[in-house]
Amino acid sequence: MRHAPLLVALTLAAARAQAGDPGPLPTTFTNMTPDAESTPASRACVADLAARLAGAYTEVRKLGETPLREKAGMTAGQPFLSWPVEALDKVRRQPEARDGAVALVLVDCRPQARRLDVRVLPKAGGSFRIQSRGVPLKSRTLDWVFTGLLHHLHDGHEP
Amino acid sequence: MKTCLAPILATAVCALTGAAHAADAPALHMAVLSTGEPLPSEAKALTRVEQALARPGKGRRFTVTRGPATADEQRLAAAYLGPVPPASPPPLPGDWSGRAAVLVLELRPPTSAGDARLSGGLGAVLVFHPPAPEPTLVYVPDGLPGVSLSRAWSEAVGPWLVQALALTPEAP
Repeated sequence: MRHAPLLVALTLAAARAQAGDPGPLPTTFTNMTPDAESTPASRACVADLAARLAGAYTEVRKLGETPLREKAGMTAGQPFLSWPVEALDKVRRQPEARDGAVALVLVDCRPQARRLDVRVLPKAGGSFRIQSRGVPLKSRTLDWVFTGLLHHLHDGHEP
Repeated sequence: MKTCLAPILATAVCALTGAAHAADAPALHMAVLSTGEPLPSEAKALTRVEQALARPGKGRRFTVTRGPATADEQRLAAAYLGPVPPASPPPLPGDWSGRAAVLVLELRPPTSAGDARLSGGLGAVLVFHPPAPEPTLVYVPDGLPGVSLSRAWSEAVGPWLVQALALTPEAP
């Protein structure tokens, strides 16, 4: 069970290799944890998810929260889960990228409060969110979150 | 004689202790949100989730019930299925008390291909642990197709749902 996300990622990578590889999925990744809630544990949690992404055939490009907000035109304080997709589309659309877009992954992880919010915009459009409340943010929880994240992350990046 | 009796005794003991464990297993309800009766392929996938949650194994074992979402459950789920999570958690349905966990699964409306109806796949997933008012786990797609229940079962979806119920809340 613990290896399920890895197996999914490897299966995905193998299928791509066979079918004419478009290369790793360019993915913009932003740590949305508020500064006041940032702790070594929260940074480790965010780094864990970024590392899992990097192992799932993506090319992770980190973007700070401030430049993300500027690009999306969203003011500080407004929760990112409530940002309209149209605002984040300004970040997702990147003319220089293959197909003119990248995937976005935004993470707010607060292990001390047992709280995790993830917002994902696949390159092809749409959006999904994954939230965890009250559950210890240990490896098993991050396994669950990451498996959910893979359900649609690569949409629009098939060969 | 001893060698003949040993397996019989072991079987009887296992059956008795298994029955006792089943009676002690916490109650889990699966509420299914769908526009109509689930398609046979969907019903099969749901039954496999149900069986996996009721089976002793590595995960947590439950006494599982399943049914279409009631009006109260539909109202509660609707608060979480929009693109934006609710500002404050709506009240839980009254008949959830006594349940250790509730798994709410959204089936997307089926699509048609000629005469055939095809599953729209799995949409949102919500996991509640009453009496905690907020779901412990939320997966809500917006503007995306459902995740195929049949194709992806063995790879991720089924074990992923079972895994969700192994994650239990704790006070910070």
